[in-house]
Amino acid sequence: MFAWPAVTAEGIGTWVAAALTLLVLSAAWGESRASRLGMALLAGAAVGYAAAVAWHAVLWPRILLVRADPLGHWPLVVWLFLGLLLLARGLTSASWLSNASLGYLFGVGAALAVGGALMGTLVPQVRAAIDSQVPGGGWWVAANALILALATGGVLLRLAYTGWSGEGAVGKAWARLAGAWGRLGYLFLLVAMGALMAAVALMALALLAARLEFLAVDWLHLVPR
Amino acid sequence: MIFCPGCGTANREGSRFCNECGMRLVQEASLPCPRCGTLNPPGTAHCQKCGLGLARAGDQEAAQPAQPAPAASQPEEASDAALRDEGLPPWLDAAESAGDEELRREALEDLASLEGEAPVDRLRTGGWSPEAIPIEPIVGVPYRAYERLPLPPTPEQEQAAQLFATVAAQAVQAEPRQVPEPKPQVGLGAGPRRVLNLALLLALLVPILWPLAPLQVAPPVPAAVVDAVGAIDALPPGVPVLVAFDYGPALAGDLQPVAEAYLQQLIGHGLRVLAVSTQPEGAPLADMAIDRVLAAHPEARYGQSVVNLGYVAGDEAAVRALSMNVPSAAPADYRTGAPSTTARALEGVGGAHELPLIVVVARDLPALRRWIEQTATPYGTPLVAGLPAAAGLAAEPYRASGQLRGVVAGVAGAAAYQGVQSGRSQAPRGLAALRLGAWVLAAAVVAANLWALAGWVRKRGAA
Repeated sequence: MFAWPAVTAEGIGTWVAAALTLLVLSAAWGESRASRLGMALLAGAAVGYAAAVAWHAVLWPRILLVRADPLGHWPLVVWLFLGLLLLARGLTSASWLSNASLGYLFGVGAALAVGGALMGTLVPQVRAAIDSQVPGGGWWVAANALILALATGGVLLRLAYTGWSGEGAVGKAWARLAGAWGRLGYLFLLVAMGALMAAVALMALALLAARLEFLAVDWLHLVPR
Repeated sequence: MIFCPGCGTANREGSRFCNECGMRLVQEASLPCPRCGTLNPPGTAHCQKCGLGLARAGDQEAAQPAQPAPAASQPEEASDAALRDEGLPPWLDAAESAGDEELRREALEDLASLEGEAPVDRLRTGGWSPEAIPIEPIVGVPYRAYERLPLPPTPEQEQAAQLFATVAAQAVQAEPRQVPEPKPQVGLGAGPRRVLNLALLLALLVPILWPLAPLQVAPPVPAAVVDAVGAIDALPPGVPVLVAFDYGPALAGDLQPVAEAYLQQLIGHGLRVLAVSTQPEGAPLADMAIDRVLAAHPEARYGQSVVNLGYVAGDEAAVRALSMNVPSAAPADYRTGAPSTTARALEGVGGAHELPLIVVVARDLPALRRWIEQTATPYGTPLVAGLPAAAGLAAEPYRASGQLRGVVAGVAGAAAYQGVQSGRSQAPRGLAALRLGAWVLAAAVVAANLWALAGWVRKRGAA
């Protein structure tokens, strides 16, 4: 049963959201100024919201802590000072002041990212791959390993040796082998790309269905939640 | 000025060839070479082409400029005499050898044998003599300049003149304006695209408005979902669990059902939920999910059963900071603004790595990997994840290696999760819409491929 939403802050928000949704969905008929306006409003609101959250949830609580007890929270004073120095990046004559802050940011970020990638992904994944190929795991483990080797090698050869005809007898033989194996890898590549594209398309459909459900349920109340 | 005898074009003084038609321009005072006929400037000692000495020949010609056609013997004698007296030019003398001397003598004897013949006859017999081509100064007579009739301009000329005047009156632009080339149309035109879009919209909208029984069948449950449910069920009630909302509104349609499914089970199981986000837009989405779940669980209270600690900045550093100390990394309650330590849900909580479980609902695999690399793997903290449908498969290696306990991917995963949790055998509205939309999309893909194949066959047949 259709019912107009009550004139409350939530009701106004629902109407604004519905209007923006319809503006963006109008691109289904053809791109227009209305659809572009909707997209620009969404992007701008997202950036503005992120900035507001950064101030409200990150900076302001820490400033309150420092104001209440500066000695007890002295590390925060240092971080806030380094953050202020970052603002000097906008001034050509004083941009060198931000070097220390940037160095700290990139240094810590790189150390965490590289260390995490090595010890959190590379080593455990290699170890798991070795463990899964231990003999005695059954025929499916062997088949899995064979497919993995064929696909990996084939894709690498396809990418590395496409268009290469080889020189000399050994080179030509290697080119023939790389070509045949590479064609197999190309098939694996096609299947993988197709699966990825299908997953992305399904994800987009899920997002669209969610917006339509919002319009039908939350905005127009055509069906109960 | 020298006027060309062929076309009448006026050429600059001293020109040897006409600038218009390329004809040789004969100058009155030029000195012809007796051997090759080249016209040399007056006073030239040797021919500019063959190097023959021209001094005596030139003097002889200069002495008898007005004589009629010369007798055959006189110039030839002079030429031969010049050859004999002066010899070959210096460059030819340097290259001359003993064998050449013999050839030269034979050539001079041949010349002497041709004496007495008419120039034309000598040409026909293949003999050569400078007198074979009569050299006479020819003075070109210029043509009269072409006079245009004063006709009125045609409309096309008027139009072109006006265009020129318009362009010439415009200010010179610093850079020429780039006129974009029309792009060739790729893919569907506007009409078929609109039909496809409308068909997709209808396919998604109909199951939302009217439940269709064939689409309401519950989805098959993946093992990863069963593992995720089992990891939460194994926890004793009352223990804290960290839930990360690491996604934004762009993926809320795919991930909000996943997050709500996790929250339903966690709060329903009596666990304490600590919601955080390493993405700014994740905090309000967490609030929305918490509100909906609390509405379904009246016994649960905000602050006691669940608290939203908001956004923690710093990506990897934020995850590591949360791992070390949750209240320190997230000092304030996102909803109330009060210090986070005042929330009862956070009582006794230190670092996230000490928690019995972490739930991460992430926008993509890299966002999930931060938690795997910074907390789950170094400290061995159990981790379950929620991902978009497109990224679900990519997380499988981490589940196979034991770094992830379970994965719920997209709307379908959330539906399966709720089915396992509640024993319900009916798919939610969103999944039914997704199914019909996927069928329409698949049909469009097949139809487009068949159309392309038919076009290819038609083109091949025509070729």
